[in-house]
Amino acid sequence: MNGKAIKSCSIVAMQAEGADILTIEGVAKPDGTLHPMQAAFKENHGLQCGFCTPGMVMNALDFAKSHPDPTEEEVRDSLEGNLCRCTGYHNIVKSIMAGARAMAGKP
Amino acid sequence: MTAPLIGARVQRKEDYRFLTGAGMYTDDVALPGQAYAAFVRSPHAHARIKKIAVDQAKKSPAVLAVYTGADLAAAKVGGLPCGWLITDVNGQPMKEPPYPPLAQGKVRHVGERVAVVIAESLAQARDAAELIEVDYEVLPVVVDPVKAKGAPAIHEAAPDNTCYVWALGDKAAVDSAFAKAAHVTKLDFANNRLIPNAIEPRSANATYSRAEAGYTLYVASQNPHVERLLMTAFVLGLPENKVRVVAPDVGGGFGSKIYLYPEDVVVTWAAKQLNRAVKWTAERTESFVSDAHGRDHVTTAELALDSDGRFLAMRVRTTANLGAYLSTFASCIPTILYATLLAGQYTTPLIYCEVTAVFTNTTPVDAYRGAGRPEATYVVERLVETAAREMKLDPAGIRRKNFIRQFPYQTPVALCYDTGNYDATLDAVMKMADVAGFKLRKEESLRKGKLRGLGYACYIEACGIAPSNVAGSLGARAGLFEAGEVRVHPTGTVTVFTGSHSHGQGHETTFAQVVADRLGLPIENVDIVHGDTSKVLFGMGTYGSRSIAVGGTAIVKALDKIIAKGRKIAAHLLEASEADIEYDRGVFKVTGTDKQKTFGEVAFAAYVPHNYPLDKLEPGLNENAFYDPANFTFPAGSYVCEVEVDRDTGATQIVAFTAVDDFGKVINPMIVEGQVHGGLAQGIGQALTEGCRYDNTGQLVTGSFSDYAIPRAGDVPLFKLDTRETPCTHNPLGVKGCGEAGAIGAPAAVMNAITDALGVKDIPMPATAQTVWRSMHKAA
Repeated sequence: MNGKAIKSCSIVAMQAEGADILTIEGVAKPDGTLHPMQAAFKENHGLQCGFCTPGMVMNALDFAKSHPDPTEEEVRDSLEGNLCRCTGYHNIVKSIMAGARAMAGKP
Repeated sequence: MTAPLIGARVQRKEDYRFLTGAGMYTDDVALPGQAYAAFVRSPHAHARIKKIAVDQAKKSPAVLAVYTGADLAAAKVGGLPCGWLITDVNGQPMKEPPYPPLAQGKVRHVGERVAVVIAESLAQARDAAELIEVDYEVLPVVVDPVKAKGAPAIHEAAPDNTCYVWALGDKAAVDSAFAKAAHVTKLDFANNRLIPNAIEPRSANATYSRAEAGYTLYVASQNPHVERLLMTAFVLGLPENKVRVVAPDVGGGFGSKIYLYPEDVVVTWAAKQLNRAVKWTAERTESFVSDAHGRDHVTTAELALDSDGRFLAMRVRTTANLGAYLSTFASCIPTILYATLLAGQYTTPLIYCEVTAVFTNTTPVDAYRGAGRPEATYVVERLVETAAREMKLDPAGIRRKNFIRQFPYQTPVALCYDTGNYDATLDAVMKMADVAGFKLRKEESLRKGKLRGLGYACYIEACGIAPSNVAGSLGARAGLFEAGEVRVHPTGTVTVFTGSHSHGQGHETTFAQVVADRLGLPIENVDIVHGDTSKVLFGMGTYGSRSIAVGGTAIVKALDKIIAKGRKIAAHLLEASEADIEYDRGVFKVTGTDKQKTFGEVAFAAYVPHNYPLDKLEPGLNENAFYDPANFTFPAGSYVCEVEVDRDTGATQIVAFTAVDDFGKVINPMIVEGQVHGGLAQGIGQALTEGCRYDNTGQLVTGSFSDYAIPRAGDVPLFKLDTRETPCTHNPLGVKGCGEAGAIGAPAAVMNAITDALGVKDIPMPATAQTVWRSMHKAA
């Protein structure tokens, strides 16, 4: 909401009035090309059942803005509010590190 | 020609939809005119229901119906069946008390369903559910499995709260070996109860069509055909052909979505009564109290050794908590999938295991990732490590001294291992984990005020469940084969239907790799369909790491039939003898010539049969296969865990975790690594953070994520993984399965490391900071 990752369940509709809302459905380019963070999740097998994935990606997009080249520890800290039961976080951490670098134009 | 796809790190076909919000989980399914169900659940762990007052709720706005157990009984809706009959030590069948979908007369655990309200909206259903008044007479409660036997009866059918006492092995021979042993290691411990917590809560959405006299149920399930079979044949008495069950995208299962649950039955039954679609999705709190839990064993385990550290015999006594009712496969978990694994990787010649399975006033317990095998591995690997320490032997050395090296190997606990190489995985893991450098790291940690410990676990599992006749002789009430269908389209693209179900495992990719590799087609030309009884011919579903070994093999068998028929067609087209036609990666060739037809040309000829041997061959190119495995598969591996324990707080950090697994042939290493990562995290969760607790009145005090800690990103390390391959000898792919390994091996490795760090014999799971701190202060 307005460029910040928020939990939709803890925002009431009135608080969102007039706000710019971006959900996982709007992250890819209009032609369907994946955003670099989405691509990083795919390339690094950062998802299995997919259920936690939208939250992971939205949180990572916000995080990457202030962390263009994050350390493993910074990424793990950023995931405090996101639970995954499938991946053991290993490949999510790798995905976010790679996605953040890609967003910053780094190899 | 295409590059070999077996063993390739192919990116997943399913990822695009999950990454763009296009996944379709059961709660995303919106049926026309759907109504919403809210369940009234028991706040008591054990109580007689004196009266249920539903009038206020029925009069509440937009309420369509209120049903209680009495309504279901009047409609002759049956109880939920158990799929595995265990025969006790006296040759008697286990006690099978009724498991009604809505409580009848009594409630037996907190969260049991007492009534259901169906309304136009979810909010209206919930509001009305609040108006239902239930008059309870509270009864005495037992939650501790060890105390169950003497407690007031939970079921009339089991007056001593015992479902069965079951045993495997030669007790007299084991006792005699213990009497002569140079050393006996004994441990008493619990294998802690776990709450699965798939991130997608359970959900069911059922509809009924009067025009077709048929039902459709969308449900978060790991095995839609099994769900349909159990529900139609045993509970609702419906013709199977009139019920379609769809398990669309499913957000994790880990065992908890294998079972037929009361909510699924109730919404399906109600859909016909109301002639409306009826939808229910669990709140997280409902998941905590109503999804089947896992583990919950109390065990005394003993290992007898000679003076050199050779294992002579093992004796295990376990009390297994089944919870308040028999869930779908509850009975076989602490028996058939537990005691049979107690040989582990070792030549222990004599093993005796006795299991007392009891009812308590807790949520039913059933298979959870690993299902019996983590419990067995914990017994074996804690005993072995403890014995090594007691006898001042090297823990790796004592394992090597007892490794099985001759295959096939018949264990004393029924299983016959076809193949394995336990030295290979242990050698590799010790090198990768730099066990040799541990002493220096320990000293370094000590300088920082941290106690460092190292623990091993060498696990084995029996997967690919199972040969149906063997399972049947052990009490299974179902077959355990798998089915597959390969449908080649006229232009040579392929749709494959599998009875396996993917809920995160990536079958749409892995199975497509197998098909594309075998046929020599581009992987884009292959699609995998699963999870819908109206599309897939049959299926036993996904659990027990069986998908590639059993489901994959069924597909391979169907592919072989496709190729065989293709050779006949090609022989006709090329005017050659069928014996001279060979198939090589997408092309049918006449041996020794340059005459050939592509797969696409042959497929086209099968559907446009103008030049075709119609007198001898049916048109079309579509084949089914059912595969019933000849044996279990036996994945195995060696894990090394290193922990640092903070001396002041007791907080334990996993500083390194190294896993070397032997899954046989690996189809997609990227996906296999992901499976191991997830399993390890769940195993580490069991060891360090996940402690399910009931109070003495049967209230689940760990009923939310604030109280029940599944691992967060900061609780687990980056894992170091590798594999070694000894291909399975009895399936054509040489595969064994990889889904549960991490959860099976990790708890023992972690606890061996913590006890090593603390220098104590044992410490209970989960080893939270508080538990470790208490242990340190008790020891000091």
